[in-house]
Formats: sequence, C-alpha cells, structure tokens
Amino acid sequence: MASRYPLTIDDVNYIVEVNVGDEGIFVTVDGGEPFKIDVTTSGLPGLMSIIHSESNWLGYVVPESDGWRISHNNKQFWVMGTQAAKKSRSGAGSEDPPGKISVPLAGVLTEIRVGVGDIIKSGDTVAVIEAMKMQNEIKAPTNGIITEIHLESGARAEKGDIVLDYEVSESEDLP
Amino acid sequence: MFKRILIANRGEIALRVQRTCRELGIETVAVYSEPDRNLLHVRQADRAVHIGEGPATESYLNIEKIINAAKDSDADAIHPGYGFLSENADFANACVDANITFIGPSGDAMKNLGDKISARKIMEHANVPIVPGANDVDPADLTAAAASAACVGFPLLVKASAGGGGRGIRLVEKPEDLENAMRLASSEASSSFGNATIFFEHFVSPARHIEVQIVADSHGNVSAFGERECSVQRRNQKVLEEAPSIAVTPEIRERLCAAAIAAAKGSGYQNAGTVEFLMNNNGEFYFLEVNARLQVEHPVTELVYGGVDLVALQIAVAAGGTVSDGLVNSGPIGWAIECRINGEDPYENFRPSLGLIDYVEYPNGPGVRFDSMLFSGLDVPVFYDSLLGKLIVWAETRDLAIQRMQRALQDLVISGPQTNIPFHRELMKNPDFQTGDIHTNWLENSFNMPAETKTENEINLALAAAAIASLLKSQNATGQTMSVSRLSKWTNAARKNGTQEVVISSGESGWRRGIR
Repeated sequence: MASRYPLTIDDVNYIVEVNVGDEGIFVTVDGGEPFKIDVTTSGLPGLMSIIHSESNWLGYVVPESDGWRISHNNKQFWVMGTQAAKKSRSGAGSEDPPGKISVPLAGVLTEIRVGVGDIIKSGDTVAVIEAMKMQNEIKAPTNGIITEIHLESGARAEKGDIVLDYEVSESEDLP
Repeated sequence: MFKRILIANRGEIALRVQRTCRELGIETVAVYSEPDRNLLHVRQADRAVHIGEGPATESYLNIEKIINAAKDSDADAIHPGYGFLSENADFANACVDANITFIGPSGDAMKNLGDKISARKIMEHANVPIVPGANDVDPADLTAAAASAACVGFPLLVKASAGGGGRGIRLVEKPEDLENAMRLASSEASSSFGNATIFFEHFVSPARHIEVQIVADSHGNVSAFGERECSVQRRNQKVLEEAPSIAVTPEIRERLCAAAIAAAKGSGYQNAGTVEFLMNNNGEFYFLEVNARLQVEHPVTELVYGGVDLVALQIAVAAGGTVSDGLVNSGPIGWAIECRINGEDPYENFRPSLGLIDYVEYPNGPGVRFDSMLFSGLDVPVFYDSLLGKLIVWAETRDLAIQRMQRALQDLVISGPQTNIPFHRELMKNPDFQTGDIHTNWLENSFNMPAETKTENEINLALAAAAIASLLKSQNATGQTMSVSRLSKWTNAARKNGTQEVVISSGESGWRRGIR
C-alpha cells in the first residue's frame, strides 16, 4: 500500500511516498532511496516519535489549515500541501492576501489608528497589538483605502484574525 | 510562625514560594486573574482566590483586591514574589494597616531606595562607593547643569531619579548633546513615573553587572551570600545569570559583600534583597541600586551556597527570626548558571511568541533544576511577561556547568510557541561567553544569533512525520479503523483508549480548540 503526498517546506516542494508493508514502514522522498522508519504516536495526541537508522526523532504534529506544523528540537517546521497557501514563521502583514490585514500574533489590540475611508500608505501603522507587555505595530503592506474594520480596539485577537479590509491603490501618488 | 501565606503573584515564582511553604507546613493561598484559572499555582495551592480580569491593573497590581483576598482567606502573611507589587511601598504599608505581615522590607525602606537620588545619598553616607555623578540637577538651570556635567566628565548618563527598567536614561557623549538629553529624560520620567527629577552619572563602560544577595533580619544582622554575575542582558533585561562571577576574586568578594552589608544597614533594610553594582575591568565597583525583593535569579545563589532556601529565610526573618551577621563563609561552592526560558522568537528579533503549549519535557538528572510554570496544555496568557521558566544547573566548575547546561537545554523540549532555547544553545557555544569575557553591552554589540538551520535529515523526518499524519488523518476521515498495521503496538494500544481517539485529527475549528 503506497500513499503519495506532495509537500512543501520553506518553499521547497517534495514528493513523499509512504509504503506500509510486512517489512515495516518505508518513506521515499523525491524518488530517492526508500528509508525505513519505526513510528509511534504514543499515548499523547500529536506527539510522534520516529526511529530511523537507530537515531531518534521526536516531534509534535499540529494540523494547520492545509498541512502540519511540526515542532522538533525546539524548531518549527511548516509542512504544507504543495498547493496550499504559503505559511511561514513570521506571518507578517505582507503575507496577507491583497486587500486584507491580519493580526500577526495573538494578543490584545490596543489601538486602531485608521477608520473607514482613510487613505493608507505602505508602511503606515494601522493598528497596535500588545502581547506580553510588548507593543507590536501592524503596518500596511501597500497603499490603499480602508473599506471595513472588523475588530475593535481592546479586542483580544488570535494570530490570523482579519483586522481590516482595504482597497488596494495601484498608483503610488495618492490624492 | 505563619499559619497561612497568600502569594501575591503568578507563574513560576508563585510555585517556587508555594514549595517552600509546603515544606515548612504553612498553608498557601493563590490569587489568580481570569485567564490564569488553569495555571499550576492555582491548582496546587491550598486555597485559591479569584481577583479579577486579565490586565494586571485589575488583578495582580490591585492592592485592595489582594488585601481583601488575604483577609477573606485568613492569611497572616503575604509574599509578593518579584515584579507586580513586590516593590510597591503603598502595598507594603497596606499590609501593615491590615495587620498582615508583608514578607519583604518596610514601605519606608522601599521608598528611600526606590528613589535613585535618595539611594545615592544613603550610600554615600554609609561609605558605599557610588558612581561619580551629580545628584541635584535643576533641568531649568542649564549653565549650572553644564558645569556639573563637566565635573562628572563625558560620556555620562542622564538618569531619572524615579526611573527603572531602562526608561528615563540617556547616554550623552559630548557637551552639546546635554540639553536635549536632559529634556528627553526629564519628560520621559515625568510621563512614566510622574517625577521629572534627574541626575548625572559617569558612564562606566565596559562594565559587568555584579549583584550581592543579602538577607537582613529585624535585629540588625545582615548576611551576604556572595555575588551573582548578570552581565548578559538584552534591552536592560537579564537573560542569563551565574554565581559566582568569573571576575570576582575572594578579595573583591569580601569588599563587595562588606559594601552590600553597609548598604543594607545604612538604609534600615530588612528581609531578602539584592545590592546591584557595576564593576569595571580593574575590579572597581560602584553602587547601582537595591532590588528590594526576591530576584528572578535567586536560585543560582541557592545552589552555590549549599542549597540554602532564600524563601525560607525570607519567611523566617519576617517572623522575627535571626540570621548571622556578615559574609556567609559556606560558599560559593562550585558554579551555577541560570537561563531564562522566554516565549520569544530568537530568529525574529525576539518578538513575543505565545499560545498553547502542546507538549513539554522537563530536563532532569544530576545538578539540574527547572523552575517553571509550563505543562502540556497550558495556554500562555498574553497579559504578562514572557518568562516561561528558569533552567538552572550546578556543577563543580564553570566549564562543567556550561557542559551541563548544554545537556539540559538538549533535554528540555517545548512544543508550541517558539522559545529562546535555540538562543541559549548558541550562547553556550560562544567563545566570549565560554571564557567569561562579557560585559553589559556585550550581548547587544557582539553577539549574533545565527540563522535557523534545518539539516537534510531533519527535513526528511519532518516530511515523513507529515506524510504519516496525513495518512492517519485520511483514515480517520473515511471512518476506517487503524490500518497502518506496522505502527507500533503501543500506538495501537493507546488508540483503543477512548480518550485517545483524537490522535492527529482536526475538526472544523482546528486542533487547538478541539482539546480546549
């Protein structure tokens, strides 16, 4: 029984095949030499231990929208389906889809500096989010005009929550 | 002795104090804000009192609510921990008014030491060396200020008398920048601390941050427990501390401790405290300030002074007990290092990283202590600081302590938010750190955090793990029972357990919400 997964880490695409047979579980990356793994998810949800060539790998696997976030050796690996939207550590405003600005990290939105109809320029601070006593400015990735504001100042926000919508202005010269 | 102590704090320090109370047979009362309901200090206390919403001003900084909690729970003493109300003179006085023992110095001592100019005057009077400077600077009289500055010499620091945490401080390199710096320091001090008073201090640089742990009783005795070195700092925040200091000889230690004892006696100090000094390369040291509380880094002193329990001493002297007078001769023995484990991303300029702790593995074994609030399933609240725990090791020598810390940092696993563990691993490997060639600006000026690297093997196994997770997820979705027959029998055993049915499954609202 072979299962085939197109996966992406740090913008690099891989084809990963898993073969489960009587001899054990074998994994092939990009058509290379199959390697054998001994894998257990243990009693704890998400915790995965793999022994490969007698060396140990421990990771914690959490589903993310279209892939997995894996913590291993105090590092984060975002392993996404190749077709899925890009995900990376920073999740900064610049990675929002055009016309939307989201919260880059969980916290309390202490300030919203713009209103509907306001003209924003790339790099303008549109809101401030406070987490762990530190103020983090949320900046506009491009020029535009605010069309809708979804969160209120004082609101607790999770990473990825949309703060506001705006209409992207093509021209650099705003009126 | 006390019957029941309320701990007016949260996180690891609340647990630290609880443990000593339990050993002494004293009951503990925890206080908690709304988002802290699930924390260990709440679950493990004998009693727990809800005191308000998440923002600290509505909970841990609210004097009235905490005093009421102490009265309601019939506590006869309050331990303030560090931060929050620990150095608030009004709080110490409110405890006295409510007939509750405050485990710390008196409100008056706090007030006198909290004001930097008054502290400088006390130290001058007690013959404690202070940084050369000018105490009374009138921001309006620029001619006089310029003359004072010339006496102090450039570069100098303009400091706010009421300042703290690096705020209200300006470095002035040359005379023409003085006026502007005075204006900025004064207005920052006025808005942050409600007090615009400023003074000048010679800029001692490069300098080590050396501090002496003292415990003073109410009978005039002061014990000094040697020094800690806290020169590894980022933005005026300590990130690693050790005891003893590689730069302190027995002769310097004796002088440091004598100065710290004189500082405590000169200010009428009681209970545990820390006298901070700046020390230059010639071993000359100058008084900086007194931290009128238990410090975050107190465990390194405990480990090199024969395991002395500083919290137990705090409780004992608050109850009228005595300590010996003078430098404690039983140490330092060996070497202790503490790494502050923070929820921050060293690869993204240390920006806060928080959220659900998926999984934690505590380091263990010889010479390792982990004072921490962490457990698997903790959702780190956004309202408080980013300290998740303190990893502390002891070994016979500094080199062995560094080796042991490297091992302990390897053993410590925190899955979920990014932590600064990779930073500490790099620090341990750094040649300057290993030789002890450090000063307070060293980390910010000379240390570079290397970019994150992922080995081919790590990538391959992450891909394998993701593929296995995808396989299990698709089988769950189609209602198939476990058909990856070659999975370890332990996995299959675990999966038969009803509570484990959620293994790598994701509902519509996601994994995290699913297990909350």
